[in-house]
Amino acid sequence: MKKKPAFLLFILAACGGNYSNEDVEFLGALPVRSQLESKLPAQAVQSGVTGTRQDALSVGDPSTAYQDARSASDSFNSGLFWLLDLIDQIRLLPPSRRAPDLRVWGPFPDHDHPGFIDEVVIERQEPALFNYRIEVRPQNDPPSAPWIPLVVGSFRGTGGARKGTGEVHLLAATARAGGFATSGLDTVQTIDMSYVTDQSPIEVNMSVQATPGSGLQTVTYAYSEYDDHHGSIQFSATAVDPSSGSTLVLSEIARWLPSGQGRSDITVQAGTFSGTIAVECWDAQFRVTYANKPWETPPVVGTAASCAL
Amino acid sequence: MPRLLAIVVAVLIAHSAWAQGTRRFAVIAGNDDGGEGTKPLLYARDDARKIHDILTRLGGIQPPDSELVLNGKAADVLAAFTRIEQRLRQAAERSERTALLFYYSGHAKDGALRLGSTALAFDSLRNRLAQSSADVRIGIFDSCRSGALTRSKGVRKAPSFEVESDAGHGAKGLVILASSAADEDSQESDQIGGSYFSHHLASGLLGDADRTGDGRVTLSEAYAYAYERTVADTVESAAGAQHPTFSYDLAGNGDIVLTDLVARKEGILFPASSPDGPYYLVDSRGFVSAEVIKVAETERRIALPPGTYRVKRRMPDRLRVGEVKVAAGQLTVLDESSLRDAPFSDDPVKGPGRLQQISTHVSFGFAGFYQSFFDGPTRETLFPPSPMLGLEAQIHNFLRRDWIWGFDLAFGGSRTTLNLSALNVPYKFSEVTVGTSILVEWPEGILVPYLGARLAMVFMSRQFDDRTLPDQNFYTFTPGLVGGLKLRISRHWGIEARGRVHYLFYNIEQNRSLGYWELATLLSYEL
Repeated sequence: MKKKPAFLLFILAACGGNYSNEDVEFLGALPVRSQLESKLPAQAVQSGVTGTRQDALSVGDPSTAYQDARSASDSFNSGLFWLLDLIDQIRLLPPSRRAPDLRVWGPFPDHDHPGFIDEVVIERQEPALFNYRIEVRPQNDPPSAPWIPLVVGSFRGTGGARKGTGEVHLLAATARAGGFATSGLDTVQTIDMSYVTDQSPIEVNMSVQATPGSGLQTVTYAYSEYDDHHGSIQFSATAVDPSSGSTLVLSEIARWLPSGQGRSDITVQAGTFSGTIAVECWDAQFRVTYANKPWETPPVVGTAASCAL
Repeated sequence: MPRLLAIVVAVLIAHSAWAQGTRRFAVIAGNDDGGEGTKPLLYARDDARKIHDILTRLGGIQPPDSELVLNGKAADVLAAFTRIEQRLRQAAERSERTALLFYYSGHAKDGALRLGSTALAFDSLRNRLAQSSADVRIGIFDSCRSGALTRSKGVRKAPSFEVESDAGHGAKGLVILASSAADEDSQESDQIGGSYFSHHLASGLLGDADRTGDGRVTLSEAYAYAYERTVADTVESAAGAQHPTFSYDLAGNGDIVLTDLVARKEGILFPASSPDGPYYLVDSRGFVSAEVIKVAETERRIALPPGTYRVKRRMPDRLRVGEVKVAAGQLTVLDESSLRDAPFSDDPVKGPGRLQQISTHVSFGFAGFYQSFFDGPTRETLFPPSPMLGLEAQIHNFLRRDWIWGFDLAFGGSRTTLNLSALNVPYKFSEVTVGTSILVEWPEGILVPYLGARLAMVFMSRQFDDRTLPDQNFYTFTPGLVGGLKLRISRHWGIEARGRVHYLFYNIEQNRSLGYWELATLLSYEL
């Protein structure tokens, strides 16, 4: 009679691993940077292509509009990566707890924030609907103490490789209020992101809400990427001039082709240059082919027909 | 007209050879295991199998009228007796003359045959034979101190017994032959691959005991031959000379033909012109099928079954060796000129072929196989079917004879896609197994079946094309059953077909009992 339990114990002790379909399904609900990042064609490092322009704008100059779009894209990715880096951490570890509709990682000591512990929870609400959250808490708090939400998100899968719709919210101000430092995001209240990946174009919208008094109020990004890799990124910033108290709203939409050719349309919606519209086009080497900027001298260079878009 | 004459002759020969209508039955038992206090024998089963083969091929015993019990217990032997007795009674009801032959090779101790952990007392066995409804009962016992069986009546430690009449007409009674006296051990020999007594009895039955040259080997001829050869071979052995004994109690005198060499015209014919001396006929497995003491200017016929045999004649300073093929229904004449001189080091009787089957040795194998889980959803979403390659090493006859202790290592994998409700992701599945198995094989011929158990450690992993998903792995012990069939294509090489069925306990998401199967082909090499 004693042999059977002993044998079972032996078998159980010898079993191990993380081989789980359910784990894959839960992890599949989390967004990944490769799918959501802005893929504005990169500028090759070539002599004579990069650099600053000192004199009047002319055809063949490095495109400043492309550089502006590049900056907007990098900012977009920077915010995205800050968010997703938190999420990526849990992919490295097997769940600490498994239940039919629940996976929990942690709590783990947060080495970047001594004195805090982190926990990641993914819950399945429906067969293809997952809610997740990254929570933090002072290590010395009693177990009954509430967790401080740092990131909350959801994903509804529609099949395929991470195809579906989702949203992620970084609650930086809430975390700071709980004593959790958000280095590098001290002027950010929230980052709200939503995405749709089961269609063409893939759409990712991000809104960064700044803390009051920091000048910048809101920055929004709307990124689109088509199957053939042409895409666009719309950047909109609302800022308050601290000296005059006036509000400046600047909107830029940059569009590009897989070859690298692109176009930027800048609209000043409020402020000193309200109503101003500027256009700049660039070629596959990111050199100006056409520009129409009222504040430049001369305001127009090249021909609009040279614009690929 | 010649054809009609041939048929008439054949009928006449058959009539005279078969003791004129006596229906024969046999219970033949061999057991290597003598239970506690005994050392396992190496050849008892082989001896029983050999005698069974000879009697059913040459002894007029139809397969349904014979029972072969190998490594059986006492109850198995008695049950075989009972079945044969039932047939005997049915034959008696039809007024048929009947003969019953019981042969046993194995251990005997303390007045009883030792069959594994069970015993069968000499007395009860002798009574069983004595009370049999057969007209003639013959008991042949090849076991230590089996002479005790011949004690009760008419025991003789003599080279032969006299038979007054020329045939078994009307003979009734009991004859018991024992391989040794009541105070002697019966000995086995690695050299000949069997016990001395059974080896010589078999050689005699195959034809070498046919001293009259009439193409039939009678009971008295077989005994005389086995006696003479057994004593000669054991007289200088460490255990001392072994003297077969007999008890002869046939009410109506007569000899009994045991084998007929004429009715089945196949084997090897040693013409009268062949040089005299001892010849050994070695089969393809390296076992001595027959030993022939050729007498000068005398023809000798050895009724071996079809096959290829190596022939050895031992001379004072060298060997004469060669090869003879026996085709079905054909008598092959041994041509002395086909033999060649060979040094003693090339002695086929001492070659590794025979010892290979009984000695501890190692084999290696290369396997290609296919693995699949029984459960459909598991196969489709968790552990996909996979082709695998493996290497194996086996130790034969280490734990005990005909047991194999094997070790194996295999790896394989496949590519597939994991289709979940919210995700479809391709991945590469990989598997490594390390196992050990205990198998029992039945090396009866070129086809060797085997069966056993295996315990393996499996390591399974998968790597997703989506590199944001972590690699996953699972490892566990998995017990299983193994069965297979090996085809010996040469002395060293074999091809195997093998199946495995395994249990696997999966406990990551939930506790599940799973099973999988494997089908394999192997190429093996025995050292």
